[in-house]
Amino acid sequence: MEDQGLVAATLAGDSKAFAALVGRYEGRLFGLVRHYTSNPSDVEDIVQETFLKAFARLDSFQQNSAFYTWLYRIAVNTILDQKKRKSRSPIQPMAEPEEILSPSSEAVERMTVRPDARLQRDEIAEITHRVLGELPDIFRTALVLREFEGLAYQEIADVLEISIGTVESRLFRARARFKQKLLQLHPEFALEGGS
Amino acid sequence: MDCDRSRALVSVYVDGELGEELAASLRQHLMGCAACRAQVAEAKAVSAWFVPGAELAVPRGFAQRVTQRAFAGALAGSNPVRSSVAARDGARNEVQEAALGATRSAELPWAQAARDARRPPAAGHAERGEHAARDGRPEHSDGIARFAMSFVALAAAVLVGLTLLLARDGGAEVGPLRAVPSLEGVLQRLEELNRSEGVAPVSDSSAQPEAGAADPSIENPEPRSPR
Repeated sequence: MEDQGLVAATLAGDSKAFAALVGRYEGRLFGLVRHYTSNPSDVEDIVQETFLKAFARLDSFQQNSAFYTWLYRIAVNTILDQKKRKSRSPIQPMAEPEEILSPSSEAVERMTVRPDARLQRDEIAEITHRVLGELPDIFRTALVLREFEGLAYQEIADVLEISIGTVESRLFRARARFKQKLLQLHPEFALEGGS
Repeated sequence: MDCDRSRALVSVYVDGELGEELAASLRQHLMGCAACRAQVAEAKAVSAWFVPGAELAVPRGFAQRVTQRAFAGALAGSNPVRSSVAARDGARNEVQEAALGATRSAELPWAQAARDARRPPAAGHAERGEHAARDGRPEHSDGIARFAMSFVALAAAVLVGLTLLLARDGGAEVGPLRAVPSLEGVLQRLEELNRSEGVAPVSDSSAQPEAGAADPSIENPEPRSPR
């Protein structure tokens, strides 16, 4: 059954229909949320909260839009809300020394950062996860939705409720920031002048 | 197409989101521009870092647990699927049962007895349960409301009856309000005491309180008896 049909059945009180929706998207949401936290328990809590919020607002879902972009929007907002709650600490982190020593944009442009062929897939993923964790949320979210979730620009625009032009510029800047941060944390992967 | 325009489009091009017309124009520029080709290669190199890591397994039974929680909440609180769920299942969840128990324990015994006395033997539990599920209120709240309304109606009837009874008997005779004992009597008594104790009589000014002017009984005070 299509998502719209399952939504309608859920609204009519069919719990099996909602269970089917959860089963259909739980894997994708677990994959999305784990880019923001490494704690499996936190991931499960956030995904559960996302589905409960979606259930509570199911009557506001516009049947002519894609269910999963609507669900992703709730998930992203839930993730950012939780991050905001956790970051309300009276102790403000000091600027890291590496911020001061960040390479200039000209130097970054001259370099290429390609994963070393000797790196295992999991090692690359671990490095990327760490670098993404250093980026501002708007850049991290744009990259996660595009690179990991494989969403088209229009879908990202729908999830984040921004224009396609903003998606383009945000992704462009996000990649530049990713490269810069990668060079700060792992300069060993830099290739001068590209190749 | 110049290099500035080309560099602005590289990211979109690599993502495969560029329209065919612009993509063709960009490809043509790339053919003759090594610097812009390097830009494309660099964009692809950055994308190579985004490889999926080990999958995080979804816990067994996650969908069922979430569904149970969602529908339990739907029965307990306001929710778009609340009425549908309640009407279909006709069941009370734990929260409703707890609320029902708390209300019953808080109910006065005489109210419970009165409600029980009024309840017709044929009133089926299922029928009342259905009614409660339909309007979303516990069934016993209807009983309390009915009892309160009956009590108010009975009290109103008693008041009307008493009013009619009083009207038939000509009403209660109520005399004019007066201070007892009267001011004159108090003054006389005071003077008698003063005389018996040999004290000078009370002066006129102190014997005329301001409030006393409103008393019709002292508008024309009698001459004070000489000492």
